[in-house]
Amino acid sequence: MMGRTFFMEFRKGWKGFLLFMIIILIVVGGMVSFYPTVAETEDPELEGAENVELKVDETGSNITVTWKTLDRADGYRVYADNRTSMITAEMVYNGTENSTVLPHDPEEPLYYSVVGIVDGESKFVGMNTTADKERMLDQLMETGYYNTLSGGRNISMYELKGFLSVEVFSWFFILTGLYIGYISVKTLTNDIEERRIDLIISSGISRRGYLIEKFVSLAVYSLVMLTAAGLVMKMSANGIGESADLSWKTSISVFLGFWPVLMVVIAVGFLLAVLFKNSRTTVGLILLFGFSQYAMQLISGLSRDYRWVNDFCILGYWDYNSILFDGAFKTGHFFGLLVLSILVFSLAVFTFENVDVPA
Amino acid sequence: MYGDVVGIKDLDLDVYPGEVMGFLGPNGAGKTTTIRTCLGFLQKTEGDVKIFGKDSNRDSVEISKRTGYIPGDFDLYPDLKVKTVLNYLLSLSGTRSKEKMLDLAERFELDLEKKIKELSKGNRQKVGIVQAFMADQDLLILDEPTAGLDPLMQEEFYDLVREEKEKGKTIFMSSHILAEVEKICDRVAIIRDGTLQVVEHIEKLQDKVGKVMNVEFREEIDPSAFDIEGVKDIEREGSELEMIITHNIDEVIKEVSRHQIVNLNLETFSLDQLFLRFYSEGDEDDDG
Repeated sequence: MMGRTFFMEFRKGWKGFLLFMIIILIVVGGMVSFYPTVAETEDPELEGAENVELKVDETGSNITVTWKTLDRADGYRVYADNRTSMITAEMVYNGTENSTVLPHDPEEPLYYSVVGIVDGESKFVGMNTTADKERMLDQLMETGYYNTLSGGRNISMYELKGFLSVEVFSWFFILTGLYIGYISVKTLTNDIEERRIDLIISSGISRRGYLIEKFVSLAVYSLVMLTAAGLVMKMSANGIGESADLSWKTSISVFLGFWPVLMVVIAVGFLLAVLFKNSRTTVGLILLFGFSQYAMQLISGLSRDYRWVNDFCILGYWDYNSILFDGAFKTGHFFGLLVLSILVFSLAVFTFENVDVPA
Repeated sequence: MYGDVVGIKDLDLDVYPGEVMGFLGPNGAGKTTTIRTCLGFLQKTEGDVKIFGKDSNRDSVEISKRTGYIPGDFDLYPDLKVKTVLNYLLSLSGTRSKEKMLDLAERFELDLEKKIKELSKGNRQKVGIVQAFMADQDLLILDEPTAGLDPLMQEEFYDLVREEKEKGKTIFMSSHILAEVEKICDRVAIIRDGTLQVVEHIEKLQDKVGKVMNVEFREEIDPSAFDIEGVKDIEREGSELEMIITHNIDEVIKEVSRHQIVNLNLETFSLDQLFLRFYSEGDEDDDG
C-alpha cells in the first residue's frame, strides 16, 4: 500500500530526524541572537580616549602621545600593546611629563594606555589607538576565504544579512548536506545489511515504490527542516529587534533555495547505495561527494581563473547571497537542480530494479 | 550466477497447487538462491521462473501480493514493537484484516507489545512465521521456517502447515531437518551443488531406493545366495547379512526362508537415511 514505507521512515528514524532538526534550529537561532554582540564591536569606543591624544609626525616614524594631567599626580606610565586587552602590554614611558615621543611603525597599529601615579597608587587616565577602529571584521571579509563565502560581494559583517551570510550559511549547507547524504545512504544500506529488505519487497511493494517512498520521505523531512530553519531565523531576528532587516519571505526562501541541492544529495546517496549496497563504501563515497562540493566551491572563489569550477558544483546553484541581498530567487537554478535530482533518482531506480538484492 | 560462479543450474521443478513440497539440500547447495530467484530478488541469467504463470522478475510485485515468505536469515526494525512491524508488512500486502495476525500471534505466544530487539531468536522466528501466514496468501515460500523454534512450537508450526494445506494453500519449504519434511511434505526435491538431483513423492522415493533387510542366521551364509535382481549392497558380518531390496522381495524372502533365522528386520528408509544415502552415492560418483 502506497504511503506505508513513507511513514515507516519517520516511525523508525524520528529520533535522529528530530535531534538533528533541533540542533540545526538551536544553532540557527543562536547565531542570530549572537549578532548584536558582533554589531556592537563596529565602533569600539576606548575608555578615556578623549584624555589621550595620538599624533604621528610627518615622517610617520614617530608618534607623540599627549594626555590629560591628573591632580596631585607624582608621575605617569604609558603602556603599549597590539590589542585592547593589554595582556601583553609593554611599558614605553615612565616619567612626570604629560607627553612623550615614541617610535612608530605604520604597519603595526598599537593601543596606548596611560596611567597616573597618585599617592602611590595607579589611576587610569585613558586609552587610544592608531588602529582603524571601524569595521575590523569587514577587513576580514576581504581575505580569500571570506571572499569566497560572500561570492565576491561587498558584504558587511555589521549588517544582519552579511552576518548571516558568513556565520550561518557558510557552514549550514555542508553540515546539512552531509547529514542528509548520510541518512539517504543508510536508509537503504541498513535495510540490506540488517537483512529486512527481503521481507519488505516480498510483501507487495515494488522496488520502485520502495525507493520512491523513501525518497519522498527524505524530501519532505528536508523541506520541513529548511522551512523551520527559515522561521526560526526570522523569529530570532525579530527577537533581537532586527525585524526590518530580514523579511519572512527572504528568511524562508533563502533556506528553501537549498532544498533542491539536498534533493540531488539524496538522489546521489540512493544511487550509491543501490550500486554498492554496503554502508562502509557508500557512506565514504557520499561524504567524499559532500566535501568535494565544498572544496570545489572554495577553489572557484580563490581566483577568477577558477570560477568555471563552480559550474560543475551543485552548491554553485544555490546563491543564498543573491536571495539575501538582492531578493532574487533564482528559479531556473531551483528547478534545474530538481530536474537533476529526479534524473539521478531515476537512474537509481533503474539500477535497483535490475540488480540482485543481496542476501 | 555470481560473477563466474554458477549459483543454480539445470533446475526444472514444478510445484502444484495445494501441495506441500520440501526442498532439501546441505548448506550451500543452492536452496536459498533458488528461493530468492523465485521471488525475483536475483536476476536469472538463463531460464524461466513462473509463479502463478507470471515471470518471477518482471511480475515480482504481483507474485509477492499472493505469496507469503519467510527468509532464511532476516532481521527487523530492532527499536520498533512487533505489532508495528507486523502492521507495516500487512499493509504492504494490501490486507486490511488483522484477525489472522492476532490469531497467529496468540497461537505462537508472540508478545506483540515487545520491541524486536527484546525478542529471542526463537521469538523472532515466530514473527517471521506470523508475517508469512497473516495475509492468507495462496503460496507460502518458507526458507528454514522452524530454525530456532522449540519442539512445541515446531509441532504448532507443522499443524499450521497442515491446516493451510487443507485450505488449498501451496507450500514450498526448504529445510535441513529431514524429520519435519517427512512429517508434513507431500513431495521432496533434493538439490546438490546448485543442481536438482531428484523430485519425488516421499513414499515413492522410499520405494525407489528400497528397503533395508537385516537378517541374523543360525550359521554363516554365503552372500552370493542373494545374487537376485533387485538386491544390492549386501554386507556380511558373521552370521548377519544386511542388504537393500528395491524389488523382487518375494524371491528374497523365499531364499531367506531356506535357512534357519534367528532374527529378521525389514525397514523402510527414513528420509534421513535416504538423504545420507543419496549424498553418499553422489560422493561416490564424484570420486569415480
